[in-house]
Amino acid sequence: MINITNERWFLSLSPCSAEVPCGTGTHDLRWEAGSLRLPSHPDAEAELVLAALGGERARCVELAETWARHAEDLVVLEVGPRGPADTVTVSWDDVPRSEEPTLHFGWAALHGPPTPVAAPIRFPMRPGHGPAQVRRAMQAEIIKTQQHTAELLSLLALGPAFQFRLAGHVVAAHAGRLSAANRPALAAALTGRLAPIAENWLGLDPDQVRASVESGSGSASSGGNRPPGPPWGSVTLAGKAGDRRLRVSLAAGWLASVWACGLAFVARHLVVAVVRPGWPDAQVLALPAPGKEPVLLDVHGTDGSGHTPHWEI
Amino acid sequence: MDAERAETYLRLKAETELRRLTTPGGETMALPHPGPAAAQNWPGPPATAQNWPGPPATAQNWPGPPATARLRNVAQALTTVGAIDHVVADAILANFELAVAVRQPAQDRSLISARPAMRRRVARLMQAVSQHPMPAPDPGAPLPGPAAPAAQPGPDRVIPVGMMVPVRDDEVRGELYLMAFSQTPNGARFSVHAWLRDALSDMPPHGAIHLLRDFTATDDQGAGYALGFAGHGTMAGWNGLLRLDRAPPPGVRWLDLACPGGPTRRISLQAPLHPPAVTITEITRSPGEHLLNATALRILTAAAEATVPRGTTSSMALRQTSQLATGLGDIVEALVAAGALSPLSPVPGQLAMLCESLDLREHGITAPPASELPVPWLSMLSYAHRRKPEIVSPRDGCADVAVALPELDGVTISILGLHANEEGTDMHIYLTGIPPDVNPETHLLPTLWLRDDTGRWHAARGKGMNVVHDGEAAAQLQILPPLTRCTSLDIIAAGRSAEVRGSVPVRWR
Repeated sequence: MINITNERWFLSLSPCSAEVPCGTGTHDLRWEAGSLRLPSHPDAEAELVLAALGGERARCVELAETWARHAEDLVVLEVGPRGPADTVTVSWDDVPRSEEPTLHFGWAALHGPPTPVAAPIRFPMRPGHGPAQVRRAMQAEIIKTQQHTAELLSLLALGPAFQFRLAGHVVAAHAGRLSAANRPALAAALTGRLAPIAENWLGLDPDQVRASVESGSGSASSGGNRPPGPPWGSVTLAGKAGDRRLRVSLAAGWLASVWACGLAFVARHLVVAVVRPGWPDAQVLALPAPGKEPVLLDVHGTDGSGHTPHWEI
Repeated sequence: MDAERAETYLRLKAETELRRLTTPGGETMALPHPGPAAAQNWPGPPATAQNWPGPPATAQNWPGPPATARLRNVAQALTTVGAIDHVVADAILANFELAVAVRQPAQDRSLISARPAMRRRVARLMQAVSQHPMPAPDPGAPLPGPAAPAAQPGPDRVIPVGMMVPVRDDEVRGELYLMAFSQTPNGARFSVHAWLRDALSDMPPHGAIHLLRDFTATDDQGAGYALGFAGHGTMAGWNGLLRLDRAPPPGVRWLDLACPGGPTRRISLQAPLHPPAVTITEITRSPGEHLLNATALRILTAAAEATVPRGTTSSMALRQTSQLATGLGDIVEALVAAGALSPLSPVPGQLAMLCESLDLREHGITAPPASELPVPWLSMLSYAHRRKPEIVSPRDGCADVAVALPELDGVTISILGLHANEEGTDMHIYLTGIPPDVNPETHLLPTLWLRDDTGRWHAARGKGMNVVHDGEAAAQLQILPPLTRCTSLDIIAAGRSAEVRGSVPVRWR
């Protein structure tokens, strides 16, 4: 009997760190065993209290708060990298501080092209319908959008190691509570990350990959009366030659315990589950080819560039 | 329809497009720099909504890489048929654009702040806020001020007028053509077209609007009304509404209209003795079929416009025809995935046939081209294939065509006249019953087809929607091919649930 685990998904990841401009210098920000640490700010909570009282807010502390706020944000999966070859590079210069406006729309930009001379039809204005309300609502939306974008950029600026780890946190937060609200984003995230792997693995057109999110009961989210299959899901190749299509059904947690840990494709095998997580040694269940029985592999990891793991048998 | 499947499809499409952009040798990733061109396709405030019928299907003018246009078209199709909420679709587009932006070379990183989808979200919010009541100090308070005439109870009425009145002052002179009178819960108005000239130079005047603001009227019971013009003007004339400050009570039989610098004219408000015959036939069209039919109408009208040799207009129309057809296969696939279109529907095959008949090869529809096309499509196709206009357009004329069509998919359309000039034929309409929560930019309204007394078919496409307020809107539609001096018209409004046919006499003046 093989136990597949998605709990403590991060055990197959090494610690990593990034240098963050903070105050007049740079500080280390560390991720270790699923947690963010601020070695240069041993009493971050006290600093937050000081900041609330008008003191300066340390960027490291801000980042830790931002990380926590986005640890369930599915937008991270939409914007972040799809694989090691998909480089998302954001520098600290790209990241506006929270007090800086990021998006300069201007009122003129929000209107369409100039129209011919017109006499607008004037209808009665209801209370609450007026331009002031419209302006306030727009302002609020602009600020909200600016903040969200700025926060995402700051997290992406931490580099690929943190980008993958944050994606893992997001998936882990959602994997246990699948619903109509998060299934589409998770299915797209799964497909978008499996596509380049399938291209490497099978020489398949990446557009011909469709993945669905396996619910906890072993049936795929896309519905249908699929007979009960293996607990990890299914991988099926249909069609011939240029018309080959790969249908994959995996648990959402795969994105955290396998993909985010850099384990998705090891020694020309598609890893479908982690049996024994760990760093630098782990045991995984992997498919040599679609339709074949998965095999157990003992794998060993090394830190690649930017703390992205590289695994070998 | 299945919202989850629709959202999944759109997200998967975004993944595909992002992959295309990030593949070495793939499409260019450049996002648009902000500028005038980028502003052209953003929804503006409600008064500038341009699209009729609904599906803008506009890869054209859309700034950015083709991937953005393809994704946006699919998003727009899914929101138009109601398969996905526009808030969700906008967020997917905005995040897609951010994903593209953070994969840009470092020197283009400023484009992170120039994402069109983000601007679109904000503009849409502005539109939504202006249409929806927000918490107010006293929600029960009556509408304030003299500019808020309460709608008088009374039946909706649409009455042909067909009256030309001269107007003039010291600087401007001209003629105002009153096409029809209509009254709805939101008020009463005349649809009008005006030709105005500078009194000295005989050129189209600047700032002639004051002349159209000073009309007054008195009804048969002695009550007075002030009328104000609302609409727009071009070199070819002024179009719009002459709106009464309050609706005449039901019993009023006529109005005496006093024109600035001109005579007083009596206008009957009594229903015509022989109202146009209108029939309604129930049908069932899926939202996807309705959308594709509307898309066919847009392609056919663009193809018809391309046949008119008018400077850059025909080449623009040709380009628009091609752009409308490009990527239709993606839209068909999205509609099927969302359950908005049956995989057995004949419409995709008809659309494929239409595109191929017009030599539009980039449609991408996988359904085999149909062997037969609907009669109106064939008629307009044959016009487009003639490649030269064979019609004699009524120059600078108006027709007092007036008919209120029965409610269709919840919307009532009143035809309030035609006017023609060297730029073509326009139809004035008035809409009621537009749901308060719809986005007029993308809401799919019934399609309008016209058959003239020679049996030729024409279609109406959006030219401008003046205002949307309390579910009512005045709109101007362009008729393509332009009408000849016909004496009668069959008007067919096709919705999802029914088709309405009305036959109206046409008297050009």
